[in-house]
Amino acid sequence: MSRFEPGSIDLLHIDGFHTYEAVRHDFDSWRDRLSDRGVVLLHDVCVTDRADFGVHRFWEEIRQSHPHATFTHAHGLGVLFTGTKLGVLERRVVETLVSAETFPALAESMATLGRLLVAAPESASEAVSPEAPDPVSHLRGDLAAMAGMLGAMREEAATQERRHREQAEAIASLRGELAAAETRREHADRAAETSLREELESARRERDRLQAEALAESNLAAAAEARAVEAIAAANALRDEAEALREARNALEAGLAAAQLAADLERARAVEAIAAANALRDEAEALREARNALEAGLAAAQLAADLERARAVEAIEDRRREAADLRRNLRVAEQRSGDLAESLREGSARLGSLVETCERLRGEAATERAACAGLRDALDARLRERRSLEDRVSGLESLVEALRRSTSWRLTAPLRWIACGFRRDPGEANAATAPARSAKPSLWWSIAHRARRPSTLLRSSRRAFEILRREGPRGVARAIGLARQTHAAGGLSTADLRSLRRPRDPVSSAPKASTPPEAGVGKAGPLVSIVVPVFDTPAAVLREAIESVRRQTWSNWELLLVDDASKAAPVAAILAEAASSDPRIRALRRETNGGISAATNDGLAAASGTWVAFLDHDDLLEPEAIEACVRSLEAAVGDVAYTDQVTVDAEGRPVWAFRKPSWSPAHLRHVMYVGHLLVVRRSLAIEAGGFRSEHDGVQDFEFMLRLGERTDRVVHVPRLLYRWRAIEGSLAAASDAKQGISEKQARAVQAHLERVGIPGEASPDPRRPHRCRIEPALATRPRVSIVIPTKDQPEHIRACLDSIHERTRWPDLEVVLVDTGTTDPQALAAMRKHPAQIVAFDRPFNFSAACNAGAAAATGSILVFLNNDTEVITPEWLDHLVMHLVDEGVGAAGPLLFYPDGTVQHAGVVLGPRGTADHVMRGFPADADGYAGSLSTPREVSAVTGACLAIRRETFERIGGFREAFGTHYQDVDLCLRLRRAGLRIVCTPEARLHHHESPSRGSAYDFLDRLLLLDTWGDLIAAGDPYYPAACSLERLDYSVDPARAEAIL
Amino acid sequence: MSGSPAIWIASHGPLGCNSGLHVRALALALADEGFRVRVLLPERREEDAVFEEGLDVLDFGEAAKAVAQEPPELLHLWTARERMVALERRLAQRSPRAIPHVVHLEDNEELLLRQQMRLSAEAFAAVRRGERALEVPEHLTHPRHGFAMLERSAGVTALIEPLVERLPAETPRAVFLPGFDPAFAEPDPAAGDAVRERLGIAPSTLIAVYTGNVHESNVAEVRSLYLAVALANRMGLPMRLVRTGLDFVPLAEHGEDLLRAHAHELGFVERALLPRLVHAADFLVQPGRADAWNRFRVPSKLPDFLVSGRPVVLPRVNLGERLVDGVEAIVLGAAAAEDLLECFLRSAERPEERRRIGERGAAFARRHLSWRSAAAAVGEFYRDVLGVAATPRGAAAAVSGAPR
Repeated sequence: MSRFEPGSIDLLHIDGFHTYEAVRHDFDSWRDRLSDRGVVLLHDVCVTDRADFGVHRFWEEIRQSHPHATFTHAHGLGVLFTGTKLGVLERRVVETLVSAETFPALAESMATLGRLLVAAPESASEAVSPEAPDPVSHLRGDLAAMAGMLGAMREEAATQERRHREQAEAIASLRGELAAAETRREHADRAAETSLREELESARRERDRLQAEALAESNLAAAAEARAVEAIAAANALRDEAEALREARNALEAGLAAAQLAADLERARAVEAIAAANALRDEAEALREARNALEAGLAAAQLAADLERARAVEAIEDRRREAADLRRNLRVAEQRSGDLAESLREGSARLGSLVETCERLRGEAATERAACAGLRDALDARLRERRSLEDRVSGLESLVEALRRSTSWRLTAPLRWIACGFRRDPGEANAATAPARSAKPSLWWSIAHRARRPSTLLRSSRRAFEILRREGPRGVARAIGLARQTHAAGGLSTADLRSLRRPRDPVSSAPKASTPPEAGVGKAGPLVSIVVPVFDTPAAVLREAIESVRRQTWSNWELLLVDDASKAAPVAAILAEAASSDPRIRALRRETNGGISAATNDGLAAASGTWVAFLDHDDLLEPEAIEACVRSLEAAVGDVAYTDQVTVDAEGRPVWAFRKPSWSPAHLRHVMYVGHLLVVRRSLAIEAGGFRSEHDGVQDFEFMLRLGERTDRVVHVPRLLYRWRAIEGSLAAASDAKQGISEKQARAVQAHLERVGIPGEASPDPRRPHRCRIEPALATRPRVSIVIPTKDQPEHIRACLDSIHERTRWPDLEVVLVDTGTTDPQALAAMRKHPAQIVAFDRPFNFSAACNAGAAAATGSILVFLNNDTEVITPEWLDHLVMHLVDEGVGAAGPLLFYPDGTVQHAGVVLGPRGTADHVMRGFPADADGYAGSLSTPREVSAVTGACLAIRRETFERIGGFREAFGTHYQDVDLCLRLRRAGLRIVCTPEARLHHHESPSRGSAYDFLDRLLLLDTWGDLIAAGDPYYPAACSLERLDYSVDPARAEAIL
Repeated sequence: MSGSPAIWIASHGPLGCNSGLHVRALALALADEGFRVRVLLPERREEDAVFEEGLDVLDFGEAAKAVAQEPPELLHLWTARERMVALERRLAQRSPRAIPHVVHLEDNEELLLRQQMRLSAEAFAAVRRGERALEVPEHLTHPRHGFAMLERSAGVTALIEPLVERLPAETPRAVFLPGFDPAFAEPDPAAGDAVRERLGIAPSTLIAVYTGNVHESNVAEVRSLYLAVALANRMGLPMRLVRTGLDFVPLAEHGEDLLRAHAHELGFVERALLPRLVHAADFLVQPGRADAWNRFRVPSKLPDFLVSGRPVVLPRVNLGERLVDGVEAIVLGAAAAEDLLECFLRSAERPEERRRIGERGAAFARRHLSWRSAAAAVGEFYRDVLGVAATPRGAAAAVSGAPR
């Protein structure tokens, strides 16, 4: 057995002991040697009559679990197929052997063959009958048949094998196809899934939108229902109940059919309630009628009695009156008779007198007539003389004009400017009657003022010569022009001067000042602490400052005079005298000189008022200053207030007015415009940390920067309530009086920028004193989308796009051209020259809609709306616009725009001109300072032009974009005013500069519907005046020159 | 005196004007309440004869004669304007006995006076204090004379609460809302087609209707309506404004032709024809803002607009504060041009919503805006006033007939 490997035997014939146990043993022993095609033969399976034979029993057991065939002839043969992996042939044999159709014939053939083999030796000698069938032949025939069958079986097996292979190949092919189909199906599934997901997402979004709408409508409905219920609740209780039941019924019908029964029940109750109510009402009506009838009867009886009584009384009174009247009439008639006789006498006498007078007047008239003839002759002579003089003037003017055109005149112009300034009277120069930019206000005052003081004049002359040496005559001319624009207009009107020069009563006789503290205006109002740091102040000046406080119309104040260790003897005495004269005045003294911040902080620490006002020791308050500030702060619920101010000379005479804009934090970063008078909530001043000595010189400016970081409730009081005295060495006298101020200012601004997180670097303006420049230092530069509505105009769009791409310094720029119908081939070529997204706009032209379409297509987080007739000048224009937009309090930013001749076209929009709005400072020189820095520094304005407007995309979308009801005009003003209404500021910065050709691309027709819509929407705001443009200044010239009528209206 | 009190109601204008129509409707309803009502007019005009039907009418001259013979129990003066002050004085002089009077308030008289006489608030106050003299036309209220007459009155009636806010607390008062004219309450399905055909307005074009004169006090708000319609057309929404009434001031300084380009100006239209126009409207518009003018009035056209069943657009002030937006009317924060434009654009494609709003507005009018309920409130007020006429002032209880 060991010679056979397990699984190696295909055919096993068991022939050993025939007991059951022996056969089973043999089978079990050899079983693992059988191959997976194994066949086992057992003989004697039909021997059942011998006790020692148990083969049949084993066979009966084993054949239950395998295919098998049993040949029953002789002693029986069992064929057992144990293999599990039969070949085609073996399977065919097994099928044949186990088949009920084929096996009986096969078994019979085998039985016959067996019988023949057994019988053959015994009959070999017997003659074979020729008729008898030859068994061998028969057997051979069977064998041949079997061989044929076997061959057929083999062929069939081969065929089956082939088919099997083909089927296997087909299956493999099908599997491949199936795999491919599976792949395709997966792809399709994925695509379908993606599509379904998108649809699902879309459906979700739609569902969300619908839910939001439903929610909104639900909210609206809820609000409406609430209001309806509230309205209904005011009606009588029965109707309310009925209404409520009806509402409940409607709701139930709409939502739950099952609740119909309940609704019916409620309705039934309502009907019952109404019926009850009606019954009650009827009852009440009946009672009311009964009461009315009773009251009417009572009243009728009462009235009848009254009437009878009244008639009797009246009859008596009538008789009395008649008698009295008759007596009175008789007396009057007698009197009149006497009067008439007297009048007749007087009349006769007057008639005689009048006749005499007439005669006398006739004579005088003849004399006068003769005198008039003489005068007429004299007048004719004077007229002839005037005509002669006019002819001479005309000739002289021609001569002057010729002289002005001469080269020598132009070359000597700067010298004449200076000389002229020395000659002119400051009051005259400031008169509002002077034309806008040709009149000089402050510069001439400044020069004239300096002329009175040799040292100042010397300094001015030195400066002029310095400029002349450095820059030549042109530099001097530029400096003078610059100064002229710096102080252009903004002066004092006649009405201002009249108001400011009105005589001041001595304090002892002033009604308010003489009023004791417990009386007067403001007694019931908050206490105001007025802090005055004092150091070596001239006695007269200090006394005037103190008196100006005592003249205040607001009585509830305390004055804190802090002597910063003055060396001048009179100071201490004056302070002591003041403190003793009025219990509201307190004098404090520092042992050592600590500077203005330290002294002011001492005063702040000693103050106890709700408000603290800061007054310089040499300045003056107008009598209404404190009251006006307190009233304004209370009305606006403000934290800080500042007023307009007047510069006065050493004698206190007004020479220049500074009218300030409303609270402008961006402007303040570049120029100290707040100035005096400053009134601050004391708690806020302390919270901010008071003044800082390291900033002495610009300490009030630095203090204001910190206040502005803590509150935006800063109130501007647009009245001239503070006199800033120009004495030798003060900033008021000369902007360059104190060295190093500009550097200190820049340091204060830099610290401020770092505190508020604005990415910029502050430095002094090299060309102008007390102006600070801020260079953007953006850490990140978001994508900027420049949206340009355009149509044709090839020269403009070409220049515009070239300038953007060639001059702009910005890394992530997108240009969106909204084509409103370009057909010009050159324009189309220009539009394709640079990368740009072109948005077709085929609706009727509407500038707002075109801009909105461009914004919708843009991808940047910053949008810049730009006209197609603009050209970039400054490469860093976007840096500056975006820097302002980093400040979340800023809604939009715009640049300075210039005409092709280099003069200003846009520096912000003012509300009010022509009833609507217009650009301020048109035509000013490019390098002008404007009005106290209004043109040289960024500043808040009411609006900026849509010709170039930068805005955060998020803000633009939140505000709803441009309003498309505006067709052509004013959509920019409307957008900016909506931003302002949302609490955002608008900034115009001169650091971003572009040319604007202001071409008539939209058509030159003025759109009156747009005008009417602007006025309909913003009329009240426009009528209230522009907060950033002085109310006293001209709305016609828009150059800050004073309009006497408007100045008068304020006063 | 017979059982029911005799009341004389004096109108400051003819019966055909807005105030006169109120006087007429209230007088008729009071007569139904059992009062003997006589209406006094400055003058009687032939063209107003139709309004006098059912009323006992005298002109002021006739009343001055009649009062000597048969004085009323109570005189109800419609406003405290100079004309009414003179009438009250004249009747008092000729009456054999004192006649208590009550004053009806319906407008911001201070604003009217200041607008028409170009008077600043300070100047008005100076006149009021007697520091400055002022001659006031008889159709306006003198700051002192009118107030003095109010002080002498036995009580005040008013169309809306703000009108009585500043009165002394002890002044008896009755506040009632005006009622609607039943002629507007009957729907007219053919009106739309007829008006369109008559005016040449296409079926697809929306119609906004405004009935009323234009004067200094309302020119700005009517201009808003014209502007909204003009802008709607510019933005592609076909729309026409059908306007009745006269203009006493120019609509605009500039661009008036553009404003009127989409309007049909019908001028004065007989009142009997107005319901037809109103029923042709897609929008009945009462423009305006919640300002000092509108807070103290109830536009007389609103009850008629509401009861017509057409959707009413109005600002959230006076009656607009009592209507539910989107349910009983289209109530706008301010019915200025941009709000009206947005409303037109939004509602243009929602005819079913407009129909529902119109129906509910009519239901509101029927519930709250009836002359019968106004007369009930005023009648009770009369009785209270007459009950205290012979007793010290202030004893009367206030009566309020206004739904809240």
